[in-house]
Amino acid sequence: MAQQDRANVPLDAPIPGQSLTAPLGDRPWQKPARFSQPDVALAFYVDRITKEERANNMLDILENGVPVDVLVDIMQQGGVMEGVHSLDTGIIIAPALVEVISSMADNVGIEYTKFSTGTKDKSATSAEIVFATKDEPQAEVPEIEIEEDMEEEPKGLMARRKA
Amino acid sequence: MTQIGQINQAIQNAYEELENMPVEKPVSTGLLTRTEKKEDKPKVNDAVRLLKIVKDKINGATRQS
Repeated sequence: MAQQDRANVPLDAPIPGQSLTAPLGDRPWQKPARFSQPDVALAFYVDRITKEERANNMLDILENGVPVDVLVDIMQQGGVMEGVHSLDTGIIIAPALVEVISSMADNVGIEYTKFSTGTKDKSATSAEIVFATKDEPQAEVPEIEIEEDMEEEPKGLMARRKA
Repeated sequence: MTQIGQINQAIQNAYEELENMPVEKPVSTGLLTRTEKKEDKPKVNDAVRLLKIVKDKINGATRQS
């Protein structure tokens, strides 16, 4: 693994097979969703985000530079995980939620980003690095002579010491 | 495309579709109403329909204030 990729390894990702450790139907998203109609699911969200405390928190997040569509995506994914609605319903209501949140931010008068551009600077993958450096002459690595004369003194409680 | 990219695309598609949606004609109540042919309503995606409802509500609210 290249050094550049090491930082991108998701260490908090689930272990393969982790989803199979709970009985089938035990997770909220494996049960029928609470709201199957998009209109009702949208009403649920609008009711929640227009409460004063939640609205303040949400507008703080927007003011810190988080785009509205990313915030909506996080919200609807949370809803799916809690079994509020299905993933499809979440995608259907996403544009309307973006519009509601944008209008709230407009009314308050904060600066915010509506859409994430999605053009992040992507670091090169290990395969790209290999192909890029394939034809380059390899730098000679000087051989280092390792002295083998040094004997390590045995350590530990039961080790005998040399006299 | 990442999942966030897909959602972003879905949202932008809904906005684009809403912009390209034909404007609804007002319902005629005149004398010739019976003779006029009824046009089938175009099927609208749920996402676009909800977006339109929200936009109309927001615009209506801002007009009132």
